[in-house]
Amino acid sequence: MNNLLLGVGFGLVTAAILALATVPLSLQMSVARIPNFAHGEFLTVGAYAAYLVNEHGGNFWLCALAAAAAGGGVAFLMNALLLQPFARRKPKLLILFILTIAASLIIQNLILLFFGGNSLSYNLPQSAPHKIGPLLLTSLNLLTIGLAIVLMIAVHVLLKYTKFGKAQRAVSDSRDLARVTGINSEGVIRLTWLIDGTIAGFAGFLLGISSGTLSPTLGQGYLLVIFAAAILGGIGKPYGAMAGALVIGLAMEISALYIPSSYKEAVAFGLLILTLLVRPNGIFAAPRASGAAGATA
Amino acid sequence: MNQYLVGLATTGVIFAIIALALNVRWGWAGEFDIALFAFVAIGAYVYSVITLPPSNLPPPGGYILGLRWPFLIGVIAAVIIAGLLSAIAGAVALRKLRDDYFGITTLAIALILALVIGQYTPLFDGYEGLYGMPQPLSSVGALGPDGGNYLIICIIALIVTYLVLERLVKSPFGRTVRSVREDDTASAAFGRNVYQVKLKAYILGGCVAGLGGALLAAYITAFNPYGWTPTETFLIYAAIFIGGTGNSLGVIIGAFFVEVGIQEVTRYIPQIGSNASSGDAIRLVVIGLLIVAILWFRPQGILPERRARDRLAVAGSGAGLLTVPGWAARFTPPRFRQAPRWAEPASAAAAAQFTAEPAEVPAQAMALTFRSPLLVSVSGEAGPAGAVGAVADDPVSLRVSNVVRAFGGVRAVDGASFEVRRGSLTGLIGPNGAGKSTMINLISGFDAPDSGVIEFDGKRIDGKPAHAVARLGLMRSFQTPREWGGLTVMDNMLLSAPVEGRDAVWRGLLTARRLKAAENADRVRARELLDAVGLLRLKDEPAGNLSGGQKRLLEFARLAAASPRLVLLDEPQAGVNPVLRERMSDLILAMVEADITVLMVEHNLPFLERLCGHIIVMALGQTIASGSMAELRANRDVVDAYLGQEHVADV
Repeated sequence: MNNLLLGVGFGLVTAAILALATVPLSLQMSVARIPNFAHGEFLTVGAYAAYLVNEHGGNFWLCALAAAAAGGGVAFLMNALLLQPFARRKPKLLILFILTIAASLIIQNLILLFFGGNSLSYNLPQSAPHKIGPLLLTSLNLLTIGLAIVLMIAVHVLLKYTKFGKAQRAVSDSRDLARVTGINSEGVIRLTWLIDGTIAGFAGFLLGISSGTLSPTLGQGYLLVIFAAAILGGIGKPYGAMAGALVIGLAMEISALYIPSSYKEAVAFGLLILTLLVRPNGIFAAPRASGAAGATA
Repeated sequence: MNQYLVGLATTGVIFAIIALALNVRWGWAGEFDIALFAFVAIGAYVYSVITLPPSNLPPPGGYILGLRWPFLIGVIAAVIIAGLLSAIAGAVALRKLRDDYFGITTLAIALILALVIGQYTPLFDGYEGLYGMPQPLSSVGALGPDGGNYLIICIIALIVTYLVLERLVKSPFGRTVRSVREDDTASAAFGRNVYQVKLKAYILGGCVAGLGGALLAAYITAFNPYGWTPTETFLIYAAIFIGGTGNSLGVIIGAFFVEVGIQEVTRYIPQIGSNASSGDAIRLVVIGLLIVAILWFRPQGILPERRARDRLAVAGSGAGLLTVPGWAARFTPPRFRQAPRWAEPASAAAAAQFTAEPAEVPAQAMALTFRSPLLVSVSGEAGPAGAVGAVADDPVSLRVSNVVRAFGGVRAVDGASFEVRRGSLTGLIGPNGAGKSTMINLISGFDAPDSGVIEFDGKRIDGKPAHAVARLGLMRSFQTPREWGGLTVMDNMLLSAPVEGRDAVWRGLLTARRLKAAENADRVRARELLDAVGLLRLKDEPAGNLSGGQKRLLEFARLAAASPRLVLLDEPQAGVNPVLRERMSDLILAMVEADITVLMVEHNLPFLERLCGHIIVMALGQTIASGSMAELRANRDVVDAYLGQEHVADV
């Protein structure tokens, strides 16, 4: 029982980071609809930007700021310089997918080039453990969970109550229709990438802290876990992504109590495959609702 | 020979084989597979444990088998096991997944495999990996372990792989696989089991990957899980994009370029500071930039995929005297190689068509073309245009009873029932949202009804998959024509003709020549049909380059080539200009004349009235009336359904 609660505690922290990494991907996929293989690199870039600031004596908040800015910048540039020019040619979806793979290769190896392949780590003060009800969590854990909740609420407000959110929903529904009604689709998409990268970069910083060491494959190694959460919640559904992150995070950490913890990622991948086979539109979608979509012209 | 160069060449040759494996999956079948290197690894491991001596590693290390069997058995086992695992992985991942989800699933499978192999040490010694694998011929001759002897084995393997794959891609199997890449919905509509075709391509690719893995293991004589990250697979993709997706020769060139060329060029860049990985990093950045550049400037790659040439096989025909025998043809320059036109074993009438410009052909003549594999003389007067109605005592061809299909809360088809009599030209009309297109999807097997029965010539077909329905002789068109855009018009025609098992892998491999001869009849008929719709001169163009109207005409020619018993036409007039409309009605009449039963969804009522004697009306998912247009006009319900909601609301 005690172990289980420990697992739940870890699970909540993992889920918080995972949600911060997944929600922006899902947000992007609801608007720009690109299965982004370079999403992991947004996290990596954030983590390394935070490292640079940390090396120059920056504290947690400065690091977080740098991570968010760097992640947002890279995502914005990737869209503006690479994806949008190609998207104007209306290529097949897979071509855009492949371009993000190329971007992932480029970004990841530029990081390798500048920082080297050795593991790096932050120099942040140790945080004290607290007993919260039955759970044992450090201040950093609590901060992580708290920030995740705050940012999730922020995303909710953004989508629900701002003009951007309205435009975002319109573009997500039909890009062409949005355009003829005077919404600047490309602008909405650009802004979406910026938000995507900003949150992902910040998530990368938290991931860097929680995994202890940084390496150029930090984000890519985590990418499939992120996809697992996004697909479980239904791709393109930011609220589903939050739920998906919670399920995957808890499943990984609780499973680690019963099977060797090195297999915990396999649990996430297994859930990913299972979801795609049984409920490809996510656990919140009806199983056979869009059956005929493929057959109609 | 310089040992260093031999090493480079061997690497290049092995990676060329691995790139050919991915080309089968991605280049031919359009499967965005990210797991390729997992199957290379499986090949490498299987080869290793079969050729290595028994493990004497202390626990928890170790590996299975250790049979010390010879090289060739190791390679064959690697090919088989990689193929088997591909079958399992493909069976999971290829089930009705979107292309990008398929890619993600294969990645998940690859990572799970890597995790298990790395963690479960008794299998292949975990992350330590295996080493000391025997390399054949390494002790023979003077060149030593990195010598040219092994290079020769690899080159032979590459040549054999290349020849086998070239033979397959040119066979009906290759054509079917490529059709699935272009438009799998259309492939299903013409009787191809898309899932099976994709699975076959996936397995074939896996076998070749296994071969590459075995050769790789024997060459580097060591293998561990660090050697096959997803990045390795992306490098192979880079090779394919650069060389030319779908073109085997291009892919080989691309593999040498990426795995040898770029490596050699970046080798001379000095290490940056203390960063030992700087060379690798620069190499991968360059490759990433190259992928982007090639996709922008030349997406088809250096050597684009070869278009099939439409040529009649000459073997066994009376024209033998006039043509070069097969063996000699290889040494004959291409311009002399093609048999002269007059030597082709087609009917005189067909031969005359190749030279003549396509002319307008009257419906009667077209009907004959649609019906018979050979052109016979045109006889009989042109029948009355239209009123090809059902005769009351004709047998029922298609029977739909109480069919229901709901999407969430919307009952798109809500208890529809109707009959289509054999030989008739029946119309299906109804306001938008009446459920007509859903009905077409349900009949043709692209969707399954929630309840109700659909019978075709006495057989129940509801719930049967589309390809099975098509094979029974019930075919369909789509609102927007679906052609296989990257394949030639002639390939489109050949793919539409009944395939009768000719696209089996083994046939493509073993009976290539006989298949070509068997296809002659299809080709001749395809030319006749193309001529009938005025597309003959475009037969070697990619179908994707045709105009909208031409695609419609091609669709009709393809349906005729398929010689179905019943055709469902889903708004054949959609997006067609008035001149072409006339042509279309001739073609539809020609189908009926050729004993093809037609059920046509259409909004153009005058057009329907002219053609169809019997018309079925759907509204709100139900069949509300049927009869001749005159009868329907007198029917209050039909008028209500068409004249709008307020009318209905009054009731």
